[in-house]
Amino acid sequence: METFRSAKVDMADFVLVLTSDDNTNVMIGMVAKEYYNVPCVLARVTDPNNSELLSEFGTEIICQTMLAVKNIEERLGFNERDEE
Amino acid sequence: MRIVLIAGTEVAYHLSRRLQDKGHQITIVDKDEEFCEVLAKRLKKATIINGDGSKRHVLEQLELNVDDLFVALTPNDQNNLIACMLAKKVFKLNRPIALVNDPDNIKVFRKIGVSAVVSPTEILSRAIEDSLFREQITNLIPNSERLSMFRVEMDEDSPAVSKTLKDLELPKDSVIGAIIRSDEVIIPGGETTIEADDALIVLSDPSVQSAVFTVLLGEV
Repeated sequence: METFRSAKVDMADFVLVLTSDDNTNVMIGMVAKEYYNVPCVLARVTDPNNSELLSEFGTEIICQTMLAVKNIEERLGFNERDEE
Repeated sequence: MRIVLIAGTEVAYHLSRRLQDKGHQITIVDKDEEFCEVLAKRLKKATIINGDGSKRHVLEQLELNVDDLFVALTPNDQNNLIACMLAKKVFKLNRPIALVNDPDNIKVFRKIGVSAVVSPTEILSRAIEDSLFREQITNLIPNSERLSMFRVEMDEDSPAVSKTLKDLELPKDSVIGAIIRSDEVIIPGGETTIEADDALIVLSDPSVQSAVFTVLLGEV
């Protein structure tokens, strides 16, 4: 909270939350959105379940796991179609 | 009804022991495998689960019921918040309770929707603050932020003794709600006189409480 204050988060237009800990990111994401009313908040998460929690608060989410899954899926998908 | 504790800290252990004695069924979820085994040995009747209680897939295995009580006790505020949010949003528990280590986070928790918070730091500082007062004063609602309610015992030397209430210069936003005089309760009016050995029940705004003590007891 102290850090938030000194960083003047309440004045920010955009907050990116990118630490390696999911729970920290979710909490900071919620605080930025809900407490400081930052218009646009983007949080990185690894556990897709956490993105559900966060999206309720109107936070933008980047879920690296799902990105990787989708990417792999796409590649596999293309490969399969190529084979057909 | 079950009681689910996230993290097997010392607090969780002692809480479990007390609750078990009252016949409640306890489940403790902790990340640390070794500590789980220690807990399992110490708490024979409790169910101990090794896992991260702030993860949905772990909580799913608990088969949480709407009536279950849920307390997140980890030393990490983020984890407690997430665990409680999951319990509330996903498993529809009524009132998950979070331990908040940093008192600055309390308002954040409330704002986000976890209203039941316990802050050991704050409780400790209040307890110390209270014990700094004289023994004559007892705080009747220690956890209230907006209202102070004290029991103040009078002795012969107290400046308020043998004065009527209307002569007392009590600050605005404070009132003597009741006087306990030898086991009898008196609801006082302006003409009521305070006697030695009375116990006064004083309600006030917290900002004027020390001024009230000064009027009743002299310099505190």
